[in-house]
Amino acid sequence: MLILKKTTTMIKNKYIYIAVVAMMVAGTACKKQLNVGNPNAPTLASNVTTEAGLVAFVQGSTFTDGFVNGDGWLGDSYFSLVYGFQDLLGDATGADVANQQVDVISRPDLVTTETNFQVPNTSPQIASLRGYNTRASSGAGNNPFYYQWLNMYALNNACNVILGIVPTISFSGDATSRANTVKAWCYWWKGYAYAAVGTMYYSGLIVDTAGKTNSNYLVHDSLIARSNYYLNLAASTISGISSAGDYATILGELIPSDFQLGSLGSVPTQAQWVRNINTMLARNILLNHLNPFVNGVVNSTIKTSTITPMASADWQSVLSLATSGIQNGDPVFTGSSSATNSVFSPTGGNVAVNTTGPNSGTIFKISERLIQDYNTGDQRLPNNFDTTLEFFDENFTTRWSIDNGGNGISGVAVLGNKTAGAYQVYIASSWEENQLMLAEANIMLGNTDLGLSFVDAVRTYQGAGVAAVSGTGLTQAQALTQLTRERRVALVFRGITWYDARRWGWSYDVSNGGGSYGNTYLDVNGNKYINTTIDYDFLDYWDVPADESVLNPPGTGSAATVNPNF
Amino acid sequence: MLVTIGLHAQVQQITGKITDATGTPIPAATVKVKGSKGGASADYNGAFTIKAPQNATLIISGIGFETKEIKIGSSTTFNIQLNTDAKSLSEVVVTGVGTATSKHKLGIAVESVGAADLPAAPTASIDQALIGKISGAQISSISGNPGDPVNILLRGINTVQGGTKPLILVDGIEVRATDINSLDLSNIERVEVVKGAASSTLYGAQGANGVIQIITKKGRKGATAITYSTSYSLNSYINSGHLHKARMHPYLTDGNNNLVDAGGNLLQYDSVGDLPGISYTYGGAARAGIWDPRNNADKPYNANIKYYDQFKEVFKTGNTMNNIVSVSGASDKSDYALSISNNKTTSPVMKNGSVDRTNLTANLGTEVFKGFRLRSVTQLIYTRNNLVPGLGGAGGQGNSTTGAPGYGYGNSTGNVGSIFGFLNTSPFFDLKWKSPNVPYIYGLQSTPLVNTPGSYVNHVEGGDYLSINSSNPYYAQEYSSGIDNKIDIVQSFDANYKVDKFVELDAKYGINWRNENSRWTYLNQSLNANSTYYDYADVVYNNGTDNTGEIDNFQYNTTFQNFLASASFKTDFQNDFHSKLPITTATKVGFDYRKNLYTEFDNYGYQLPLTPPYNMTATASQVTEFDYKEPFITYGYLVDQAINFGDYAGIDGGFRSDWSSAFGGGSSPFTFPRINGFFAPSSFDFWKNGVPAVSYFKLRAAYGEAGIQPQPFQRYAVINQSDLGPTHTYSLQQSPTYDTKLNVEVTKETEVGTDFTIDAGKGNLFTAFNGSFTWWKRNSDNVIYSIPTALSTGYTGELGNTITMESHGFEFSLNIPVYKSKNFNWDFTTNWGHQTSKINTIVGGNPIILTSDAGSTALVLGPGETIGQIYGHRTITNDNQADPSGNVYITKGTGGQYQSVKGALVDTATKQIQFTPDKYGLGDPNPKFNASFINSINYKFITLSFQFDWIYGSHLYNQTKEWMSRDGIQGDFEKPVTINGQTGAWSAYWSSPYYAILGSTHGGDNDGTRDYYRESSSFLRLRNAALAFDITRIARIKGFKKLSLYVSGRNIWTKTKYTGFDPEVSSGAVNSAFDRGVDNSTIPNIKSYQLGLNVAF
Repeated sequence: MLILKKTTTMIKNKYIYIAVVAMMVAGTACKKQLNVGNPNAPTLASNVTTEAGLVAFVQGSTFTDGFVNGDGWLGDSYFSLVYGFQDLLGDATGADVANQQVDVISRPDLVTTETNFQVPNTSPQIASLRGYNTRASSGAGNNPFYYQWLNMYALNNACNVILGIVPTISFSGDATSRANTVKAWCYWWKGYAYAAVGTMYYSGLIVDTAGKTNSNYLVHDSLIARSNYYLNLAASTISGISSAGDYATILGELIPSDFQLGSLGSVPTQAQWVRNINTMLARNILLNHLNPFVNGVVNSTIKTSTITPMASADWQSVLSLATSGIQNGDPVFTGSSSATNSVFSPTGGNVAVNTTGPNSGTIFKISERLIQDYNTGDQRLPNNFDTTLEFFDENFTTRWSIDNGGNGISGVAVLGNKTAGAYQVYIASSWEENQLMLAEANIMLGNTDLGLSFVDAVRTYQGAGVAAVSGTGLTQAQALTQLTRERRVALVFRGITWYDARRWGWSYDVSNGGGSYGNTYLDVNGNKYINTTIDYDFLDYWDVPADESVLNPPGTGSAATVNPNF
Repeated sequence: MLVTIGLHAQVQQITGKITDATGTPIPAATVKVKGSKGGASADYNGAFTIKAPQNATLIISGIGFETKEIKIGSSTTFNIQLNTDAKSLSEVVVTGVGTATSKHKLGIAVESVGAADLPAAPTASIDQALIGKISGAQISSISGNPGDPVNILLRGINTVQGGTKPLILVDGIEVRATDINSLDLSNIERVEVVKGAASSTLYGAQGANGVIQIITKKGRKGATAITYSTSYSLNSYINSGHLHKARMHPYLTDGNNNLVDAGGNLLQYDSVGDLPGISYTYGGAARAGIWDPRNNADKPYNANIKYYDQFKEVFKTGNTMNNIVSVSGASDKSDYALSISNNKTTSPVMKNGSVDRTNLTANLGTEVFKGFRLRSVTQLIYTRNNLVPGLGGAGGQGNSTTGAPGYGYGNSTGNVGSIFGFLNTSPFFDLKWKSPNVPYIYGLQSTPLVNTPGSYVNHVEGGDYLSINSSNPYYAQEYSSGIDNKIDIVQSFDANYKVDKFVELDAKYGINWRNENSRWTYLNQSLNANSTYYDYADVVYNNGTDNTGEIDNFQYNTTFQNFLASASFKTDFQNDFHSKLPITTATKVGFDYRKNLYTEFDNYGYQLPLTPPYNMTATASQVTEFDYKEPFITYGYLVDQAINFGDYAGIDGGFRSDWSSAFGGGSSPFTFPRINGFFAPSSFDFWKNGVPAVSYFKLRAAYGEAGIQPQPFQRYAVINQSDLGPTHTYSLQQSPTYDTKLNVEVTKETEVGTDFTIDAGKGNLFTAFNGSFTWWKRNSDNVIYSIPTALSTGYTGELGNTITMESHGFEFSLNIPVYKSKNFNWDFTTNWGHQTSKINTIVGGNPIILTSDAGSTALVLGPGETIGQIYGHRTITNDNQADPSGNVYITKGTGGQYQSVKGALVDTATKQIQFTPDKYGLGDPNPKFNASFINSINYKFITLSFQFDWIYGSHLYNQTKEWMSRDGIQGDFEKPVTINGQTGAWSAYWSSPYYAILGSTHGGDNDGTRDYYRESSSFLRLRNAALAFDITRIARIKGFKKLSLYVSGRNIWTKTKYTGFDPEVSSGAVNSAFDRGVDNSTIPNIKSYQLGLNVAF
C-alpha cells in the first residue's frame, strides 16, 4: 500500500482492496456479537425485579451471605464455625486440632488441681489470638476474629442492598404489607448482625448504605444501641402490618422451607415475631453486662472489664422484656439441614453435629466442664452421652462422647443428630433462653424461688427428669448455681455459652477477680481431678479483625480497634 | 542468418526444480544468471523457468541453504539439490513475523526446533519434548502423573489470574481446545517459539504469553515414504531426595522392644486396622508426646510391630508403549502425509490405570490452479484415561462462581488426593492389610458394624492422635474407578493464492473441537466396617453425608473456531522496478476472528446398591450440579510493514487492534503497536575485510505490546444462585467476580539482541560458534486481580485492573559443531535464560494474601515483591534478630536458654527450633537461571545424544515433608541431633518446624508456612540420553530405507539438594502465575528406560 503510485502494481492491488473491505465488513458484523452476557448467572438488574425475584434474593442473601459464605472450615456454616468458637470459649467443648486456632482459643492460661498439679499454657490466649490477627493469618484460616465479623457485615450489607431494592418492586396482594414484611425482615437481621458484632467485638462500624463503609469505629455499646434501634424498628414495622395474610405469605417464602420444621420452625405470627424480638432485646442487655458469680460468690468483683455489672434497672428491663418475650410453643428462628441443597450439611453444618460421635474423630469434643453441670439423675446425660472412649490430650482429655441421635429415652432432649433435618439450630433466641433470663433476673432481684421455677420449667421442657429446685429453700448463691448450670446445659450449642462465661466473670484472669472453681479436669494421662481451678484469662471483647482495621484504618475520633482493657 | 539464429539460439529457456537433500521442493529459492540483473524464483513445487545464454552460470540460492552455482552447458532442464546451510541461524521462520522471513533478517528473537532435535520422550508429547530446547523459556515437568501437562513460562510473568500458558498454533491456526500434550509428536516438522510481546504483537490480545507454533510434516515428492516406529519403556518414580518415613520410633516399648500401651500390654491391630494404645515413651498416649523433649526416635520396629515401606507398596514400575505408522508422498500438484500413532502409559502408582492416546493425522495439499493452493490439516485424537480418581484420575468440576478454570478447560492435572493420604499414614501400617472376618463391635453402637472381610481399610489411626490424615490408595482403588474419554478434532483449511510476484492472499479456517466425558464411580462402602467406624472415612466426591457411594459425571465440550484472512504485498526494488537499491518490502494486512464455546454439564447420583449394575439409574437420588456455557468472541485486524535494505538492515512495524467479548464495555478496541529492526554490519564489505572471522553479526531491537484477555465473564455484573431446599435463591458474591469496565491486560516489551557466527577454523574441531543473545524488559499494566476490601462493605474483595508488574531477563544460546568429519560428528548446543518478575503496584497498596492451590502454604502478592513469593515465619538464627518494629525476638537475658543447632536457635529446655511470630516474604521460588546442554555425537552408524538441564536458584516449599512432620513420620525424625550436649533423634526438635513458634511449643501456627521447609530446588538432571544404531548405514537391507534401533533414558539421573521426591514438581495450578513453588504430595516425575525401533520403507 505504500507504493500504490506505481501503475503496474495498482491493478494487482484490487485484491488488497477487496480483502480490506471484506475485513472491515466482517469486523462490523462481528461487533454485535460481542455482548455475550453471562448466560450462567443471574443479575440484580434482570432477576431481582419482581416480587418472586426479590423473595429469592432475600432468602438467598440472608442465609448464604450471612451464614454460609466464608465458613467452609471445620464444618460448613456460621453455626459450625462461629458457634463453634462460642462453645470452645465457654468450655462446653474443646479441640485438639490447630485449624482456625481452635486448640488455642479455648486453652486456659493455667489449670491448678486440688493436688496443686499445674498445667500452664505457653501460648496464652490473648497474645496468641492477637498474634494471629493479621490479614495473612486470616488468609491462612488462622484468625478466629475474622469470621463473625465477616458474616455479620455480609448479612448487614445484604439487608442494605435489599432495602434499596424494595421500593422498586411491585408487590402483589396488599403491597404495603408485603413490602413492610420484607423491610421488617431486613431490620431484624440488621439488629441481629449489630448485636453479634457489638456483643463480640470491642468496637465496630455502623454501615447502613449498601456496599459502602466508613472509618468511624464506635465502641461496642453503640453497636448494641444500633441493634436495639433496628430490633425496635422491626417490631414496630411488624406490628404495623395490616394484612396478616400477606405478611404470613411473604414471611413463609423468606424462611427456607427446610427450616420450617415442626412447631419451632413454623412461620411466626406478627405477635410471635415481636416476642422473639423482645427476647433478643433482653439478651442484648444481659450478655453485654457483667453478673460476676465467681467461686460461688454472688456479685463478686471483676476489677478490669470492658463491660459494667448489671444494675437493678437493667435486671428490671430484662425482666420486663423477657416477660413479653418468647412463649412456650412460639416458633423461633431455627435452621435445619436437608440431604441436598441445604444451607448447612447434616453432618458438618453446626457445632452440635461436629461434636457428635466417638470423641477421637470429632472436630470438637465435649468438655468435662459441661458434663459436671448436669445434676445427678438428669436424664439428658444418659440420653446423649457415653464414656466408651477416652480421648487423651495435653489440653483436653475427656471421657465423653455425644451419641448420634440420642439413646432413645423418651421425652428427653437430644443434643446431636447427624440425620438430615433431625437437629434444629437456634439462630436467635429460644424459649428456654427467655425462661432462663426470667430466672436470672428474678434471682438477682431477690425473687429466688420464682426464679428457680423458670429453671424447673426448662428442665421439665427438656425432659431432665430431676426434682424441682424451686421451693427447696435454696439461697441466692445456690439458686444462681442452678441457673448457671442450667444455662450451660440447656443452651449449649446455641451460640451463647461464651457470653455467659464472660459475664459471670469466669473467663477473666484469677488476679482480676475471675476464674472458674471446683471443676472436673483430666490430665493428659487421664488422671481425674474434681476440684480444679481454671484460670482462662480470655480476651473479653475481641479486637476488630485486621481485615477491617488494616484495610479501613480508624479515622480521627474513632474508637480503638484493639481492646484497650487487655 | 545462421549467425543470427545461432545468437538467438544461445539464449534458451531453462526449466528446473530446486529441492533440498531429501527431495523436498524449496519454494522460496531464487535463480539468477550470473552477471545479470533480474532472476526467477521457484514456485511452490520448487519449479522455475528462466531465460539464459548457453554459456551462462546460474546462481541458485535459498534461505537456509548454501548457495550453488551451475554452468548451463547444453542442458535445458536441471534438478538442483541445495544443501542446508550449516549455520543454524539461517532458517526461515513464520511465527511473529508478517511473512516468512530468514532468521538472518529478523529484528526479533524467534526460536525454531526441528523434529530431529525433539527427543522421543516416553509421553510422546510436544511439551515434554520442548523442555530445555528453547533458550530462556522455563518449561518444567511439574508432575509425573500420566497425562499431566507441563508448566510453560516463556518470558516473564505478566498476569496474575491469566496464568503463563502461551498461545498454541498449529500451522498458523490457534489450537485452543486441545491440550498441547495431546498433539502428535511424530508428525511435527518443526516448532517455532516467540516469547515476548515484542515478537507476539501480531497475536494481539492473546499474545502476551508468547506463542508456540507447530509446523506439521507435509508429504514430500519421491517414492511413497512409509515409516514405522515402536518403543517400549519402563517408568518408575524419581525420589532424588530419598524421601522416606522414619525407620526408628520414639514410642513406648517393653524390654523386648515390643510396642506396648501404658499398661504394658503388647499393641495389636484391631479389626478395623487401628493400632490402639500406642503411646510415646514420655508424655502418654496423646499428641503432646511429640513435644516432650525426652522422646527420642532411636528404636527400630523389630519386634511385635513392623515397619512397612509404603512407598514400595504404592510406587511401582509402569510402562509405556508407543507405535507410529506414517505414509507420505507427493506428486507435482498434490502432497499427502498420513499417520496413525498410539501411546499408552500405565501409571506407576500401583498400575492403577493408564492413559491411552491415539492420533490420526492427515495433511493434504493440492494446487487447484496456478498459484492457488488448498491445504487441509486434520488431527483426530482419542484419549482414554482410566486412572482412579485420587490416584491420578481425570475429571472434576469447574467453578462458575470463582471463575476458576474447570478441569474441562484442559491443561489440568489429575486428581491425586489419595497420595497425600498415604504419605500421612504412619509406617507401622501395612497399606495392603485387609480386614479380617470378624464383625467389629464398637462401643457406642448397640449392634456390631457390618464388615466385608478381605477389604482394604481406608483410614487407620495409631491411638487417636497418629495418622489422623491417613487414607489408603489401595482402598481408593478397591472402591472407586474413573473413566475419561476425550475426543479432539483439530482441523484447519488453508486457501492460498499467489496472485503474482507482488500479491499473496491467504485465508485460513480452523475448527478445534474437544469433547470429554468423565465418570467417577464410588462403590457403596457401607459394608466396610472401617469406613463406618470412622464416620464415613470413605472415598467420595460429592456425597459427604454417608458412605453409600456415588457416580459423578462430568461432560465438557469446547468448540473453537479461528478464521484468519490476510493479504500480503511484496516488492523487490531491484527485480521489480529496476532500481539499484536493494530494497525489499513486505506489507501485510490481516483479519483474525476467534470464537470459543465451552460447555460443561456435571451431575451426580447418590447411593449405589451393593450389587451391580452400578449406573446412574441405580442411584437413589440424582442432582445436576453444574450446567455451564461460556461463549467468547474476539477479533481484530493487523497491519504490518517490513522494509529491508538487502542483508544490511531492515525495519518492521505495525499494529494490531482487537475487540473482544471480554473487554469492559465490549466495544472499545485495544491497539497493540510494534516496531523492530535489525542491522547486520557483517554484510558490509568493511566488515568482511576487517573481521573475517565473524562471518555473521547482527544487532536487533524490538518493541511491542500484547495482551492477555480478561476471563470471559468478568465484565458482567452478576449475583450468585443456589438452591436452598426446593427454592431457587440468589445471593451476593462474597468477592465480586466482575468489573464492568474491565480492560485487557497489556504488556509492553523491549528486547535487544544479537545473532552471530564466528568461524573458528577450517579443521575438524570447533569450526564455528553460532550464538544468539537477547535482553528483554517488560512492563505490564491493567493486570486483573481482586484486591482486598474492608469486610464492613459486605465484601471481601473487589475485582479490577488493579496491578502493574514488570519483568526482565536475558537468554543466550550457543551452538558449536565441536567436531566435524566424515565419520565422526559432535554437535553441542547450550541454552541459558534468566528471568524475574515482580509486582510494582497494587491499587490500595495492601498486599494480597492468598493460599497455594496445593495446600495451606501462604503466598503474598505485594507491591515490590517478586511474584510467587512464599510468605511465612522465619527461623530465628541469632539473638540479635529483630521484628519489623526493631524489637529483638530473644532478649539477651533469656539468651542463655537458646543454643544454635544447624544454624537455628533452639530452646534447650523444649528442644524446639524457634520461629518468628511475625510473617515475612520468604523469597522468590523461581530459578535464577535455567540452562540446558545438548549434545549429539555421531560415529558412523551410531548416534549418541544426551541433554542435561540445569535449574539454578529455584526453591520449593516442601509441604509434603511438613505434613509428614505432623505425626513425626518423615525420615528426618530418625536423625540424631545434639542439643545442650544431649544427642538423640529428638521428636521435639524435628517436629518443631511444624508446631512451634517463639513462645509457643505447639498450637501456634501449626502447618503455618515456615522458611524451614523452603528448600533449594536447584537441580542438574540428565533429561535425555539416547544411543541409536542405524543398521542401514552399515548394511543395505532390501526394502528398508532406514532401520534404526535405539535405547534411551529420560530423567535417569538427578543431582539436587532438595529433600523431597523431585525438585521439578509444582503442586499449584498448572501454568499459574503465582502458585509456582509448593510441593504438596504431588506425584514425582518418572525416570524411564526406553527401547525403540524406527523403520522406513
